[in-house]
Parts: sequence; structure tokens; C-alpha cells
Amino acid sequence: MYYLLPFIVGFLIVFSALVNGQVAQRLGTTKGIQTNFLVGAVAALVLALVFNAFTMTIDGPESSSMLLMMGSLFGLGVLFFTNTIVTKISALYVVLLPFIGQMLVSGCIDYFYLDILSKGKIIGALLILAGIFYNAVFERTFEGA
Amino acid sequence: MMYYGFGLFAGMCVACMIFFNNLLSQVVGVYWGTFIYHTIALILITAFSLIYKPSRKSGGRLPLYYYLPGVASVLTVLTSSYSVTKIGLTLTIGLSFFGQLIFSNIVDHLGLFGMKKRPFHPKKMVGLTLIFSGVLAMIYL
Repeated sequence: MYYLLPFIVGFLIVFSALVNGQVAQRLGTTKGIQTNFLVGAVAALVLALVFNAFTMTIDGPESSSMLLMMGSLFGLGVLFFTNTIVTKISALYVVLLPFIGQMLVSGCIDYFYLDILSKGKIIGALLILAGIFYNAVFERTFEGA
Repeated sequence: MMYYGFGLFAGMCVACMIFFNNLLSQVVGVYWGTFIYHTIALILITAFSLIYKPSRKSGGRLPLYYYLPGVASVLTVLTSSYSVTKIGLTLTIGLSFFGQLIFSNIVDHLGLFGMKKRPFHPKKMVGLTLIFSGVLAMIYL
């Protein structure tokens, strides 16, 4: 189950990227992102009220105020950097570089914070990288031909 | 060269975003964490749009499915925050990446969502097998 959920998330990410592209063309990038987060906030509020109505607990403003901001800031960072590079560098690097960035940071977090980085995860990340590289190069050669 | 750095930063931001959303969820629960994430991002992007005033495009009446990425974003944050605690960040991202590749190949092959049809080439199986082996290595090694 824990393995299946992130796999399905991958489907949702691609779906969102495709539809968001169309939304951005109709409304502009900023308005598109606003619409995305507005719908998200409403949907999340409904879910929170239905499933988790009275269990919200905050340890203390000092410990949580930074956490409240950071995820959202990085979320906007993702959109900013992705939107900027999509038209500037080749598709190969649009896929490769963010993956390397993700693996570098997640490896560090798993190692230093969660203490669960294994040799298998490093080998796995390298294999995935090789697979992405192979397919991206193949696609470029195939479509260029 | 700067844009290559931006590519790396984009990925770093994804990992940090999932990590901080997971921390937030540990404080307020996954559902409220997801709500807070979207609300603060909405406030930030609204503040940004007030300062920079991007050019307005006339939207007209939008198809209902245009609003679905917002819902998909909720499910993404919810499930990622939940998985990280159980299987770690690297594997969560590895599996999600594999899902992205499978679905994007299906979309290309069938020409879904108005995309140009690009039939699946069997040679791509080599890359996909490598990626799948990587995911298996992450789980079992």
C-alpha cells in the first residue's frame, strides 16, 4: 500500500502538469497557479472537516510557524523553476536535472534526518537515472531521425 | 548555464517541499497540513500577483476538468506526506517518478488530453526496465 500510493501520485503529477499547461494558456501562469491552489485549499478544507474535524493540534507557534511557510515556499519554488526551464533547456535536462536534485536532497534527508538511507536506495537511484538517460537519448535520436 | 542550475533547484525544491509538508503533517495531521500548505501557497501567489500584476487573459467559461489539478494536488500532498513517514523520501520520490513515466507513456501512446499521438516504441522498454530495476533495488536491497 505504501508503495502503491506514491506510484499513483506519479499519475496525478503528469495529469496535473498537462491540464495546468492548458489552464496557463487560457488564464496565464500566475492566475492558473492561483486557481490550482484555491481549488486545492477548498478541497483540502472539505477533507479536513470530514475526516479530521477536531484533531488539529499545534505544538506551539514558535515550532510550527516556520514549518507552515516552508512547504508552500518550496512548492512555489518548484513551479517557478520548472516553468522557467521548460522553454530554455532541452527536454532531456528538464527531466534529468530535477531528478538529480530530488535524489541529492532526499538522500541527504533520508541519511541525516530519517536515518534510513540504504545502499539499495543509492543503487536504485543510479539505475533510475540510467533509465531516464537512455529513454531521453533514445527519444531524441528517434524523433530527430 | 543558469537554467541548468534552475533544473537542479526545481528537483531540490520538490524534495524539500515533500519533507516540510511531512513535518507539518506531524504537527497538525495530514489533512490540516494539506489545507495549510495550499492556503499559504495561495496567499503567497496572490501577494506575488498583486506586486507584479501579470497580464490578464480573458478566461471565459472554463471546462470543469481545469479545476481537477487543484484536487490532484491535494491528493499528491496527502499521500506523499503519509508515505514519507513509512518508506522514506528517496523511495517515495523514486516510486512517484516511475508512476510519472508509466502514465506519460500511456498519454503519449493514446494521445490523451489533446496531446499528439506518439506510439510507444518497444526500445523504450530498456529504459523502463532499468528504472523498474532501480525501484526494486530501492525496496529490496
